[in-house]
Amino acid sequence: MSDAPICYVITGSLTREGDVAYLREDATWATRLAEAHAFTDKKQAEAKLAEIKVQQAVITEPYVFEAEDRDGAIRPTSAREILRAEGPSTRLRRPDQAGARAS
Amino acid sequence: MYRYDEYDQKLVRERAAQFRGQVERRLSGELTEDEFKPLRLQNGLYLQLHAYMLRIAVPYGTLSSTQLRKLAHIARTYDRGYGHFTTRQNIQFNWPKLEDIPNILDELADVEMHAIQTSGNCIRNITTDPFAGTARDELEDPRPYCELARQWSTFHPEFAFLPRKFKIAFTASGENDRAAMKFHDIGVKLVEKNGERGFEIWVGGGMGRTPVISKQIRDFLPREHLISYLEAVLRVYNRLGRRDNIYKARIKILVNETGPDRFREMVEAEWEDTRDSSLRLTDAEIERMRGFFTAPNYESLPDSDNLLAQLREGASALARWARNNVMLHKQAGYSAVTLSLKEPGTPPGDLSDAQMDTVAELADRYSFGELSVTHVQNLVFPHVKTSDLEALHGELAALGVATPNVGRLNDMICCPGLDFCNLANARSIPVAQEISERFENIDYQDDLGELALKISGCINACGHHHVGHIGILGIDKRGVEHYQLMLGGSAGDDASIGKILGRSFPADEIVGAVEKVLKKYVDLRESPEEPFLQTYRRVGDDPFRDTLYGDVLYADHSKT
Repeated sequence: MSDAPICYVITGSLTREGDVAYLREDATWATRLAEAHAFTDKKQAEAKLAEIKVQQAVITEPYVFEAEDRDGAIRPTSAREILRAEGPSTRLRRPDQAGARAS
Repeated sequence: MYRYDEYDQKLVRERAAQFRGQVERRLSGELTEDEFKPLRLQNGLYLQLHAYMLRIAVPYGTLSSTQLRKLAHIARTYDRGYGHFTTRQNIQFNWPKLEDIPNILDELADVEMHAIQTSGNCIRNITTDPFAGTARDELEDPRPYCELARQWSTFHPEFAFLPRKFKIAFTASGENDRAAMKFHDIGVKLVEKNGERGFEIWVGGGMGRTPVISKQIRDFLPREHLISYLEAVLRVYNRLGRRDNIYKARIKILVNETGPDRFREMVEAEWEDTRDSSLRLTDAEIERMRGFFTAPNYESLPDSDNLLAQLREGASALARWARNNVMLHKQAGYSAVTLSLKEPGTPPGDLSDAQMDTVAELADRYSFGELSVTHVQNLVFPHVKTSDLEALHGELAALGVATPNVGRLNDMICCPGLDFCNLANARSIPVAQEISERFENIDYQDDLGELALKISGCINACGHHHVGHIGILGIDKRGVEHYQLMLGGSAGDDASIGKILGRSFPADEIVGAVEKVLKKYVDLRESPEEPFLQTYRRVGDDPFRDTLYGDVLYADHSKT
């Protein structure tokens, strides 16, 4: 882990689409981590989480995760959240494209 | 194959309509996620790491070309152009939107498919030998019995909320178990005794965090009692299985705690009350069900064993494929062909929409429109004229599903892992991809001989790592993906559970560790004909541990 300060992000899945979503500062939802609001205080994040849990039709199973604030860029501290933010790391999923293997 | 009657059709349509209403209420916010979750799980819908995931049942792995075309259409229309075949012989789609699920279920119902009981604490898809109906070593086709069990277990009101999920597998090929029967909650083995057909009943097998080989509780059950006996086992489990601890809720824990003898006594006592009830199968009902699984309209052909033997000679791509991917058939002139979904560099078990469409077309042309899904995440064309093999090979090779690696190192089982799964601790697919590319050379794989490598991204063991000759288990070690390596597992009749030899490896070392194990095996085997598992069982852990860890001591490796 680096020396970057720890921050906290609220995430969940969009109910209709199932897409990964992050809470913005204005309490709307973004599908890009870069747009997420970084809480510096965990208690603040958890208090906000309790508030937004009522948005059942919009967001499913929201929770708080830990990240590093690297000069304004949010970097999750767990492999799980990195994969959620960046998508599957597998180089390809359509096997018929195997001939054009990406590197 | 089995065809729906009007009741089946109505049942599936009504369930789809019911779920449409539930989805609408979820989208409107009328239902909370807590309220909706058990409803969606009963319809095979998970919420995974990036998206919803829909698991569609393929009963005992039997699939028609029409159904595969529909799956291609669903992949193309509602998902991202591919599907993933699973170890329960099902198929999963990784990216559907909730709002599209009702339409998908309606489309599935059009081709007699559904997602019912592919999740939740109920009786899951019943599995069997993918070569059912074709294998020379089978006593008879087990699928009529699978279908009887499927009908009994579908929407069985008593077993809708079991302590935990419940998996049943059938096999009918003596000691050639190709269904991992001994790692199921109930394993049913078709046998013959004194000229009468019946079943051995095995209970309490499973993988997960507590791998257990099942115990035989009956060495012969007359076939008319199949359903009543299954019901007795389920009833005892439903009554006594633990519900206070999810990790101790499977039947294997109950059987271990009571002991197989006591468990058998309880089942037999329960069964005495019901064995002659309406659950008793009549000969007419068994024959009616057999009627759905009659052989296709084979041509009358001469024996083709010699022709297949000729095709297998030499080092051509066709010969290698005929040796590894083609199986002798019980019908003269025919062969069974495995389509390898393990092309190097691709995720094991995946097939694109375009591939599905072409495979369906080839199934129509070469295999009477029939396919089966294997629990090793491949497909099978069960009925191919041996004289058509050369032509078929060309078409399958062009499609990328003729890699001659069936039963070889690269024929891996691999779970979706942390790239997709909400439960996983580590990624699986990238490890499989790296292994498949590192050891791509088929000469090398052929030299290694029969080898089963299985990868799971967490202790839940969806990738069957416990029963890999070489097993890999992904773990989270202080926030970093690591992999434990285990050796000596087997899913076959000689069932065994793999053993962890030492500390785990980081992601950039695990494939190198596999390579060391393979080199050590080649050094140790008595002859090129001695398979890996036999060598391991002969020499034990020490030589492999030494090659992996040298003289470094790892006192408590089980926790790392």
